[in-house]
Amino acid sequence: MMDFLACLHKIKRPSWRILFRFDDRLLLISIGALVGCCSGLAALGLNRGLIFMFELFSGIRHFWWAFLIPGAGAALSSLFLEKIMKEGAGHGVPEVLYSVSRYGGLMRFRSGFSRLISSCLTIGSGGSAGPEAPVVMSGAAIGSNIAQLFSLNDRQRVSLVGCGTAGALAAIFNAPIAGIVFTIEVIIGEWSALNIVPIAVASVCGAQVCRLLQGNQIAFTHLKFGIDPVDTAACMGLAVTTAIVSVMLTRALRISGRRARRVRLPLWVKAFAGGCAVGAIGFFLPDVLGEGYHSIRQMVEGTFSAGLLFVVGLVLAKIVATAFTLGWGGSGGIFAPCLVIGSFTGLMYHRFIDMIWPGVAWVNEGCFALLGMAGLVSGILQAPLTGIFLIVEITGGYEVILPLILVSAISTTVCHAFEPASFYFKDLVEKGYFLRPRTDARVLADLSVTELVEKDCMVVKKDMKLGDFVRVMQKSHRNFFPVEDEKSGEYLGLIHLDDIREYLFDPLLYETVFLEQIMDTQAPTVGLDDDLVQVLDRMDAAHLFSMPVVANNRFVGMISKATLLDKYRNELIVQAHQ
Amino acid sequence: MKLPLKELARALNIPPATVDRWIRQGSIPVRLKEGACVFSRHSLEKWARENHLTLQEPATGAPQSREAHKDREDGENRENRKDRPDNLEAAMTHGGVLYNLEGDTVAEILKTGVARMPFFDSPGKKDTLYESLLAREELMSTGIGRGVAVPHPRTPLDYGDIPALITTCFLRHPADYRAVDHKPVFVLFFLICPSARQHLHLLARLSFCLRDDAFIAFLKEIPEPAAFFDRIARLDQRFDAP
Repeated sequence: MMDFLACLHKIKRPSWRILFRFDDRLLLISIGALVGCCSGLAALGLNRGLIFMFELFSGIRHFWWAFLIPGAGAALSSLFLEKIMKEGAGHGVPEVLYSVSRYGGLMRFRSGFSRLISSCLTIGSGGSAGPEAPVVMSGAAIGSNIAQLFSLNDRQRVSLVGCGTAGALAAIFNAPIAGIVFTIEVIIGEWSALNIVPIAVASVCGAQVCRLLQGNQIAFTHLKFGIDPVDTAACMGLAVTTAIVSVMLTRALRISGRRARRVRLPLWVKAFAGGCAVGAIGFFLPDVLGEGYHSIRQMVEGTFSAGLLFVVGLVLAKIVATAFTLGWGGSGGIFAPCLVIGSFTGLMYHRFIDMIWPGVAWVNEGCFALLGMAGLVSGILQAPLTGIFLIVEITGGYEVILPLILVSAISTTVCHAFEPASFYFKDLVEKGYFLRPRTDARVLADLSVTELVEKDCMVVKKDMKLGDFVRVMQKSHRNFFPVEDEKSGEYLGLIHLDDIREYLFDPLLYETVFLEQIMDTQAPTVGLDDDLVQVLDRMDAAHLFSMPVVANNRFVGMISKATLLDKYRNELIVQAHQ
Repeated sequence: MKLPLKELARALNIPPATVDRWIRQGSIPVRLKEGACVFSRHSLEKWARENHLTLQEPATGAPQSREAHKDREDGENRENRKDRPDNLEAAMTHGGVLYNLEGDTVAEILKTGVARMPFFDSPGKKDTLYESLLAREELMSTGIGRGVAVPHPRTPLDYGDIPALITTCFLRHPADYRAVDHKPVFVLFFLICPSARQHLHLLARLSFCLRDDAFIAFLKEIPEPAAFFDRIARLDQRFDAP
């Protein structure tokens, strides 16, 4: 027992850390590999869970009451998140982004598994959502908690959150490059060698775990496509179509979420209602249920036999089903629905151009389904690289790279015109929580009033005569003098030399005027916890360069734009060198 | 190296809250161990250079660094001494009091005054001082009225080891100094400072004292050095009072 305790003591005492401290990168790569493996396992766990649920319910889908299954799944998922895990619904990626932006990637331990279980219930029961965002959140939480276990700092923790994300995504799609690109493009938001290397290693580990345990499968294999220039030209139309569908999906999700918030019912009841609606749609159009990979596989292989109108109906039905699932409280990601809707859109477009120009020998419809997926992923996420690499990897279709790049780029651009912030970022941007490194918002969010407060002001008492004040003024190099109550020490007001200059040169007033009479009691003040953006807005609105900082009715110091510029620059330089 | 957070913040001239946050965020090559900052001096200096910051010698730490700090402080003191404002008493004690100064014209008075000053080790320095005092008088008389003159050079004269000083000279006979009020001058305060800042500081204090009628009456009695310095010390206290 004593030996064991001694061992523990040794582990706690950081002798092993010395090796890693010598190089930060070595530490991040090693822990990143561990995080990648763990998040890969979490992703595979969810995958297995979904397969189990699918098999469990496959025998009863034909009953009329089967529409209740997605409702029950969504309700259970909502109850689990709300009552047991005490977390909000949603897909999880904005939560990861928020944590990376505001708290240096700090996440709760329970987030490592909460979304896995809730999304397994939602998607497994037939809800129209994907497992990717939940595994991203789970992987991120695993990375964050491992970083906390090793007492790492914020920068290192954000890297490990990225490692978890990359590992999870690489494992769930068997797509290591997409894992890296998604993490860098969407989650971290900056391309730096310090981040890319551990994230790449984690991505490799995640994908390796996936390949070890379930073989090196390409999710959607396809026939060989022979793409002619005419097909590439036709892709431009597909890009615009996918962009329009992306905007439709984004708005449908938002409207659905807004409507659901207005309904005054318990969350689980709303989730149940949304799930039942999806179940009802799915009863007639089973392709919209679940993650929908089966339909994608058929479309990419070119064996999906539905006609144009039916496919248009499927696109709309899948959008509505996804909006009902995610907007009304189900748990899951937007990635898989994007892929399904994208492939439906590609197919729809192919059927359409085939109808208009029947004489042209278009490439196989599977190719358009594949390009449609890229268009929708790029449009919704506004992350063109993620769209390109994901589709190349999950279809093994490098020969379509030219139209793929074209579709992704055009779709992202068109979507950006309608929706300036992507689906993941929109809420955060609206709340002012979207803080990318080295941006104005980030620098101002990092700096606090406490760091900027200048304490070299000479405090004067309210009963002081002007003559005495003139002597105090001679010794100060500031233009501001806070006035305090002599007894209670409470802040009462502020004297600014500009305001009293006319009295200063009149010795007659020296013995007759008290500071209480000339101080400005209405001068706007700042609290220690105030947000700097708001402080600056207040300064601009009142044309001020300095404001007094007051906490608990006590004067703390002054905050000025001059000091802010100084510290702002320091902060920006430090962040740029990170 | 190990330092308390506040000391490190002081050495970097950054608020402690910022240093604490930078450590937490991993922006600075420092880690916290049992509440103290642990860092490699070399890496931190490199980091500070890259980030346009300066790492001053920390106040505490290894004994040799404390000594180094002391040495540096002494050096700074030597450098700043000429800028540090002195009070009247110190400057007047340095300058001393001369009685029965001879002379009937401005030039004669200045010549004898400078000649009797004890703190110049070479005649060259006395000549420069005399010339610059005379040049200032030719520009405009420093006889400020009420029998007082404050001769001083136009630009500060830095003699290295000679601090700011005021030499008080009582004339044997009041003389015409071309004062602003045309009254004969009976006392002169030679104001010699190594820096303009000190010059203004001492001139402001002196002119404040000279506005006081009681002080002028006191000067007319041609006081003994001890009484004179005692009076000056009391006037100084009025300035230095918080």
